[in-house]
Amino acid sequence: MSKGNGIYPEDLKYTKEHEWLAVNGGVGTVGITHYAQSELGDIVYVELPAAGSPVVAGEEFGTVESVKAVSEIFAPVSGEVLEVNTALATSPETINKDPYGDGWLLKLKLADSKELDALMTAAEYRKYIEEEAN
Amino acid sequence: MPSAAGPLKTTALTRLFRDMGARMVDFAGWELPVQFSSVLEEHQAVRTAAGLFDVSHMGEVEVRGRAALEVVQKLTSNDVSRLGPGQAQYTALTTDKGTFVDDIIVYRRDEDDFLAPIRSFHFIETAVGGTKCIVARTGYTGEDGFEIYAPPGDALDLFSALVREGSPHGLLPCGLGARDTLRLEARLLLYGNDLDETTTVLEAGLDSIVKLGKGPFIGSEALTREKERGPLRRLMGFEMIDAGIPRHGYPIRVEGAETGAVTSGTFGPTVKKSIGLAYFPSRAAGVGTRFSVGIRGRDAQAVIVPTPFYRRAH
Repeated sequence: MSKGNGIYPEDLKYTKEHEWLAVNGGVGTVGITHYAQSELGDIVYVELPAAGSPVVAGEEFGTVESVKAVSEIFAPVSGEVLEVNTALATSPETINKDPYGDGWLLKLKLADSKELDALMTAAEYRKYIEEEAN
Repeated sequence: MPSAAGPLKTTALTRLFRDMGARMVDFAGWELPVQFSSVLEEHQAVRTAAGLFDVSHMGEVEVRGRAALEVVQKLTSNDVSRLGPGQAQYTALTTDKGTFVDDIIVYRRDEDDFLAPIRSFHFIETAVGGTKCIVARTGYTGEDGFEIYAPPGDALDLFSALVREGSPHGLLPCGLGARDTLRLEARLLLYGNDLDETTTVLEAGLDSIVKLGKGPFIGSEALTREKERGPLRRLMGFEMIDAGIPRHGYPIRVEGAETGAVTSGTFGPTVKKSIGLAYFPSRAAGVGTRFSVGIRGRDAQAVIVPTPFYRRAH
């Protein structure tokens, strides 16, 4: 098994389901981590909610599919979808190539900044995936 | 990797694959590589250059002696009497209901070596890199494939030599992931998904390997009756109209009524479409029929299309 020894940027927050969240003011950008994309393999399809949809922390809001597997994506925090990365519809492989950059999934208007406390730091997440891989 | 049934079985190449950093998975109790680099790259290598697969988890049985032909005729649906020495044949091991115990390839061996080029569905016994092997011009990808039977003790050296010699030509070692996308694009069926003891050879659309005129075999009475009245359902290929990837087990609905489930489904990297196979009631099994696939609670539109999805250019 790959341990996903990739980079986990320090300025992001992480979930146990391998999403990342970048917070800028009241807006959060969500994606999946290097570890998640590496475990999934070549991503060929992404299903995301429409802008304006509400999402709830810990609940499924979409799916990412590789050739072999379907993986659900869970909302790191609650809020309203402001923008969806529509470029992924035609080039979902961007998530493999640049999971923290052009491979972002959607932007949320955060409902409750206290929810951020439940997320992991980069160091905590690194430790978490090491344990999960073993 | 532990499994419910105890440690996984390994092939002569498992250790090599672990060392190569392949991603290993439990495949029906065997520890096999699902991918070496990337499923899409491996798929593409097979379509445009070459790929090398380990298929040594599959079993072989040798039938020898004066009654060999008679025994194989009785056990299988195709006609082995049509095979000359050095020829191979795709066929079904049938139950008395005309369903599949398994789908297999029968090779008729020859005592004499010969040095002719190998034609499709033929094989020769020859040396490959100093190892005595059987080399058959058969495969499971939709390309012009070769299958090599080597002694287990020589398999590791042979695999390594083929990767070394093939790499400059674009050959990649390939895993189960690419094998599945390649075979599905070519509508090559997978036992356990598309075929099993509940599906008949005729329902699977494999009429060409049912030779009812050759004399009785296990299942021939059931298949004769089925041929007369026509199969009740047929395995057809489809592609998605709506977005989404059909997966094994997703429900199929024709005019709102559930009629079956996806037997195989994937995103086809060469055809660049979401494709699948499923059994349809014969009345609804025509090319062009629209239906829906239940994709995680959503009804996604799809249409029956001619197969194979991919055909190699000659």
